[in-house]
Amino acid sequence: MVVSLTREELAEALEKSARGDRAAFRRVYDATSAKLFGVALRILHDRQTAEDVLQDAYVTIWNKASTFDATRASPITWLATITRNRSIDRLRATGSRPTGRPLDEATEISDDTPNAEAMLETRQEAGRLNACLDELESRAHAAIRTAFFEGETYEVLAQRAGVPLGTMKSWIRRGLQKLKGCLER
Amino acid sequence: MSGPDNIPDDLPADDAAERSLRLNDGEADAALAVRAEADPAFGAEVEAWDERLAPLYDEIAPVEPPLTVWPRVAEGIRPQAANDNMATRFWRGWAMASTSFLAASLAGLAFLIANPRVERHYVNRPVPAETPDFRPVSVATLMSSADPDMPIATITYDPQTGALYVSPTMQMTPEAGQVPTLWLMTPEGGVQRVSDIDPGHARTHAIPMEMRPMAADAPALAVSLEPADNPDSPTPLGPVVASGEVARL
Repeated sequence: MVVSLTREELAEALEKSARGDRAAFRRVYDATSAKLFGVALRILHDRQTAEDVLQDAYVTIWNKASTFDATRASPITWLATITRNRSIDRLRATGSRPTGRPLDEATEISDDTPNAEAMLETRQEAGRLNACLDELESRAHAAIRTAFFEGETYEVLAQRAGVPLGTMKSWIRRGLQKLKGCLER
Repeated sequence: MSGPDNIPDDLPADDAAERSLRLNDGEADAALAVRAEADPAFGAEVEAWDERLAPLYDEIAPVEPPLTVWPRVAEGIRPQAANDNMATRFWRGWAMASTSFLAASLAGLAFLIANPRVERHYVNRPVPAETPDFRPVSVATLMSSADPDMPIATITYDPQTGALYVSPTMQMTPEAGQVPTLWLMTPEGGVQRVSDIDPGHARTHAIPMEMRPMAADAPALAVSLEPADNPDSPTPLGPVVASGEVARL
């Protein structure tokens, strides 16, 4: 069940969850589980493992809800980051990552969820980020996207690109520095 | 030496960005995670990178998870009085009654120290938790006896088929001569050995027909480390390392 909540409503539900309000936590789950399952599936490529990680992520979210600070982070970013990190933890623990593919070969499928209130703002932010990513060298752009969507390390990214580790680190570090500068302009 | 954009090739790492993207392996990544927890300023830098990159999540389409996930989450957040829930009290009482309690407790402590929470070793789960032939109606999350926030295994049971699915959350590494063994508490307050469990992999166990009603009514489950040279003891001889109450879906 997908239930739309505004950013403020989601933040409020998380704050209530931190005080032990299970009904509020159910609202968080209903509003975000499809998104977070998509994140886990994107990294893990396996439904059963993604289900396990989703369960683990929500238990973590419940336990850490008191650390969420709405003045510092958007609630959906905070939730998605926990899920992405849990997915990467699992991926690295099991060593079951797909290999041999070139960097960022996949064309992402956009999230066309009908309008939540924050969607326009999100689209604008996405446009700005993508514009800044487009300013990077293509190899840095591809490596950063692959790291984000597949949870790959410097070492694996270097292997996949067929370049020395130091070269990959240089590409990405330069890219991240340029990206930060562009986003702060 | 400089590369394009006059940025030197030996550009120092932006640790916060590297933690956010998870670019480092193993220990280096774990060290940044610890630093982010311990140093609020660094933690805020990591969160700032999380926010910068967050629009990329917009490219990931939502996928509705199966309905079975929420009950598992609900079970995981069920209120428990820390290490003092009914199942834990029961199994602690059982262990206290055992003449080998002291040695068993020390063995259990060693087991748990070998499995610190920060070094989770997740296991592969080759068996689906639900299939057309497997419809679990009860579920239990067994929590560590030493750390009530640390799940050791999730167990689901379908009384129609007698299929009991045991899915370790952590890679259990018992010492040589120890066999992780699953027990159920009977409604009358007794205990019943179910079977040995595979500490490293999810497995489906077939519950014998005569035990199925008892398994369906069990209020709590536990895992103990039993001596391998005494595999048929009707009661636990080794330390109870995890326990949990059973919830009906």
